[in-house]
Amino acid sequence: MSSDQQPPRWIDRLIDRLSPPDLAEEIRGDLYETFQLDISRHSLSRAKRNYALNGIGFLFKRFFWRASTVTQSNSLIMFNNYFLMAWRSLLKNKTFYTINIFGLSIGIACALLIGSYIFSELTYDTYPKNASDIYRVEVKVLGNGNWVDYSNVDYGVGSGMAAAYPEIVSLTRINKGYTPYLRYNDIVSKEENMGIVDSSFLNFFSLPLLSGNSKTALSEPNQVVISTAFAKKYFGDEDPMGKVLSVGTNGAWKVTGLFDKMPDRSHFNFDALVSSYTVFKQRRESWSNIGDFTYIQVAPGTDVNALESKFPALVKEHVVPEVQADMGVSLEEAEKSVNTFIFTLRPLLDIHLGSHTSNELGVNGDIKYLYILGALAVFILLLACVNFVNLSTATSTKRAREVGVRKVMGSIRKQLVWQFLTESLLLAFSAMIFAYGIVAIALPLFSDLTGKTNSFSFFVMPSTIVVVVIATLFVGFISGIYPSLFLSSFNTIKVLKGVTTPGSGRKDHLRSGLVVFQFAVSFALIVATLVVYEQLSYMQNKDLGYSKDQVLVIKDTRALRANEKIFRDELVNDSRVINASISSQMPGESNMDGTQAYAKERRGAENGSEIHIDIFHVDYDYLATLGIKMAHGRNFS
Amino acid sequence: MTNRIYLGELEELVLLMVALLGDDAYGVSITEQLKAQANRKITISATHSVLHRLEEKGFVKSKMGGASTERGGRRKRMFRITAYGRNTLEDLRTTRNSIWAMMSKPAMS
Repeated sequence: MSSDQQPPRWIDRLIDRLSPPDLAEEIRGDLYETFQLDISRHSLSRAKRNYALNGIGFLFKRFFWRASTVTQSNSLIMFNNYFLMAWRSLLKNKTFYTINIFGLSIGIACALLIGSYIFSELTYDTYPKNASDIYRVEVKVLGNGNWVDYSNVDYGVGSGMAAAYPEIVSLTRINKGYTPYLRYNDIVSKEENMGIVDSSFLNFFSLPLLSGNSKTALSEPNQVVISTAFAKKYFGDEDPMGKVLSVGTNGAWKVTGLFDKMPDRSHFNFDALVSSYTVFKQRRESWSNIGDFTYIQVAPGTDVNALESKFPALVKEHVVPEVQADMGVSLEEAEKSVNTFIFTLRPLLDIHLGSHTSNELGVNGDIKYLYILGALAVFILLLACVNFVNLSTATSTKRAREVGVRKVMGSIRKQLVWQFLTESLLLAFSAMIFAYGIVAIALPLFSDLTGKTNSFSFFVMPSTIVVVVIATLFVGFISGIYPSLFLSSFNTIKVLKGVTTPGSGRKDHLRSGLVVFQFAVSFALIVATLVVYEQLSYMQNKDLGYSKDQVLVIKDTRALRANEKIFRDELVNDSRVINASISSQMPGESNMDGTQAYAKERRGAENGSEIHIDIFHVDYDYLATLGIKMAHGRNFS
Repeated sequence: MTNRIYLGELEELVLLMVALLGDDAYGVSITEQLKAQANRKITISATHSVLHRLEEKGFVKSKMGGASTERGGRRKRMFRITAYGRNTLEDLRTTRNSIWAMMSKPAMS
């Protein structure tokens, strides 16, 4: 008979493995005969299918399993007995086991929650299709002896690089800080979280649209792509597509795309996107400033270091002439920029944890905290295990008599060890189930604390469950192995006579060692918490040099134009207002207005000697209103 | 001794097939006969399951029979009805016949 006329092999193997040997022969014989009948009556494929179905059918028959237990050794029966004993002792010592399980489940729940946080931090920006080929162009500038990193570069940099190097397969740029007033019918709102992007943005980051064409949605001026929450705010339940939003006094944007929301784990988050043509009618493709967050995608397998090493040539070609023109220095002087103006590439996947410039698109994390949190999770879990071991051994007085009786009845040591291990594994698994319950309850609070949306789905991912089950087995094992060896080592006669007080002698060293460890770790954690608490309250209460209590800020009063000053004077006339001041920004706000300053005699002499100065536009009352004290000199008047 | 016989409907059919097949009663032949005589299609595993139950209750006895090529050289377990099994079947038939006899006349008229 040809080999393709054979029944499926895996069924045979399954039956051979699972059924007792005396049944396998007749079952497989009958299956094979039916298989031959099926081939002659129907088709080979149908015969194979029936063979599989019939074979699996045996697994659901009670005789198949019952017959197999009879022929098996005592181990299964013994296991059932261990299980029963564990259950009985659990019922007998409810309080003790409740405390023990509760402690362990809190430990597991903590480790799980911290694990979910670490996981979410590590998987930032993994959603684009080519995430590992995407890099952000950044620039490192030497100014006044300090290297400063900027996460954004000038508008011309991205397009210039893409034109110069064929390794760069696509490009997109993001600009932020544009806060227009938008209106639809009666609804007016200031939009603080707009992204100004290239038309390639949606496809570059593989962001799906609920409606609209992601290729053309941002290809023309005055098009806007919005989130569902944004759409709800302006249009309610109406279909937002094709609707027109008024912008300021004379603009109008048409909604050409709708996305649900930006991915949760992304280093940027926008409510709406407009194309850069819309906002910047004409842009100079300059190189020497900063402005746009520029992302490039390189061809797979590109050597990024080699690509980076070509950048100084571009600096010489584009940045040097601009420096020369803008600062009025000699060519020779301007050429020093090649060494003080360095473009670098940062992998997209490294941005969230690795980039810490003063100007980022969102709040980034820090890999250091993840190490700390990871260590914390391990320590908490370890602490819970140690606690578990100590509590188990502490009750050994009660169990000692049980062990003595078991030994008299003929238990060998191996069986005793297994009994206690079964017990501790059973406890560890119930603790795991409780831990999931705690996680489910604590998750909303935890999300509030971390400011991230942690969904329960992380905890039920197959890989998470595998890790948790392995960890639980491990915890159950290490928590159970010591008490089981310890309890089973009692001398039968002494225990029965009540001579031995378990926990005395040599074994005690381990237990006291564990207690010391437990206390040490607990103290360390408590001290660390206190230090962090003090640090936080210091940050909140430190004198910043201006008074922020009882000061209110009214934003965008510049919309009053000429009446701004009158508005301010009216405010001061109110008896409840002590003072009022008009300024371009608040202390601590990120400042987009600045200039370079030089010592008079060094002007132009030395590139890199300039000092960057932030400019605040304020009126006479600014210092008085904010309670800022002069160190030297006098106030404006 | 209690005279209660517990024999399910499928068990009774299978037992009848064992009796019918005589020296040639085993899993496949019983399944085939069930289909041919009683138009009952059951899976081979279900037949095995019923045969195990019948053997436990003492209605049939079994021994390993000869191998054949269409079974890939594997032996089959041959079943034979026991005297107890045959008595049980006859008891059942007698009971049913007498019940039918009681109601046949008025029911048929």
